Amino acid sequence: MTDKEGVYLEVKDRVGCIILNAPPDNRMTRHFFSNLEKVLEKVVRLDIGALVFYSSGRHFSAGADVEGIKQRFLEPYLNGSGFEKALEQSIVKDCALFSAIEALPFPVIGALSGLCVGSGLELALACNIRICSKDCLMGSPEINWGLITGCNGSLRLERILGKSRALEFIITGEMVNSTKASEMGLINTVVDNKNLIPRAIKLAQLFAEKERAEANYLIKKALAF
Amino acid sequence: MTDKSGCLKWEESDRIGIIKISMPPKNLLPSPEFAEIGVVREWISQKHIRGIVLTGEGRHFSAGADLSYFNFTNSKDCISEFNAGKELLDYFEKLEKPVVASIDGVCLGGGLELALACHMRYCSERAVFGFPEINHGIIPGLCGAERLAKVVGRSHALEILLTGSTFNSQKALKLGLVNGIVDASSSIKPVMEIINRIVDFGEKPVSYCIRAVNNSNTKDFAYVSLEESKMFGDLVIGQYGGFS
Repeated sequence: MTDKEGVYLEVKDRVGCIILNAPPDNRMTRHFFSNLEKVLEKVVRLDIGALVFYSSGRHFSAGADVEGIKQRFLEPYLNGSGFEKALEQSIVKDCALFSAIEALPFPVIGALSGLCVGSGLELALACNIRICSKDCLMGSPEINWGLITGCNGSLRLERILGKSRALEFIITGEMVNSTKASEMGLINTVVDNKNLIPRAIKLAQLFAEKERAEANYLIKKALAF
Repeated sequence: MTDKSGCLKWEESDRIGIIKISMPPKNLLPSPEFAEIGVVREWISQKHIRGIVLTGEGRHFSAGADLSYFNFTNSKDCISEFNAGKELLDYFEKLEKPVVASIDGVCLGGGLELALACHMRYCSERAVFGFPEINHGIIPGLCGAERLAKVVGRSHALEILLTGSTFNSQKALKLGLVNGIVDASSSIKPVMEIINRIVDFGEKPVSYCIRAVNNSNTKDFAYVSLEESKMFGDLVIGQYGGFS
């Protein structure tokens, strides 16, 4: 296994990039979450001014897979772990990881492309700012499998969309395209596919200037990130 | 079981309960307590009922309160009546079965308050919305101002309430007041399709979705986050934890 598998970190000047690299569609497996955790431990020790998430491939992430959820949560539970304990070691841990990303002391930008659904969308929602490519598709399709959002998607969607549109979004499990997502406020800016990553990094470089560090941190605090 | 309470009529279409506001011709609400909550609860809590469509009988949803009713001599007298109406609206809002409004014609004042208590709203192209109370020197009495502000934001809510003017379906869609514009002209068919598709997903996932979103309006993120995880875990166990 190379150190570029799953999730890896690149730092240039004062901008950190977390690159999702688990082709074909960056499924959020057990490995993915533990790699993300390790990368995040490195990120908090860096002196950077902004962080960008993007995918090395066509899709940001098609979300978690059911097998992964069965392994991480269901197995321990069925083996006698106890409901709350099994939750704490899997689902609750993932939620805490996403909340930690949201609360980093500098702006976090999600550059979304292709499919960005389920927990992939939830990772995007944990970013402070989202830009996406024209071909991006977003959704919370969990209900098609008889489930609900598992990484605080319901909370973060409610904050952005308000109750009724958040409910509609989750309870119908339908996808929205980049235009609709932008209208709904899920996305800050839509760009051409090929401009996505350069644009995200340019934005991050703007934020990452050393003189802005303290102001950025206070702005995030004031907005209750 | 009665199928009428106050100005609300009840019909069933398979798993969907249809509540019709029925006071022809404009479905004016005769009093703040426009239906008996005990009866409405009885209709809705039947096991086979999995979702509710709220609509107006005839051409309009509701033109609001019948102002000829308001002749209180003592403001304390009206508080208990308003509380009864509010209780009914709160019941709809917190219900863990989907309540979807299908709005045609006018949806004003108390009628709009009723619609705002629903989980989602769809309207026809020709629907007209507004809070005209200020034209009569009063304010909405069933938490309409509060719910409106939550849905459309402070400034738009103030504009609507303070000008007392009406607006159309396009504006309602832009404001997020309705989820969509559908062919609801004298028909609840589009909304029935939507709610049936939702109800097909199963009772528990649907009720947990509603609970997760209802919970979200809070500052206690940690508590609500844990509640979401518990519901998620419960669903996983239900779906995949059985012996196969």
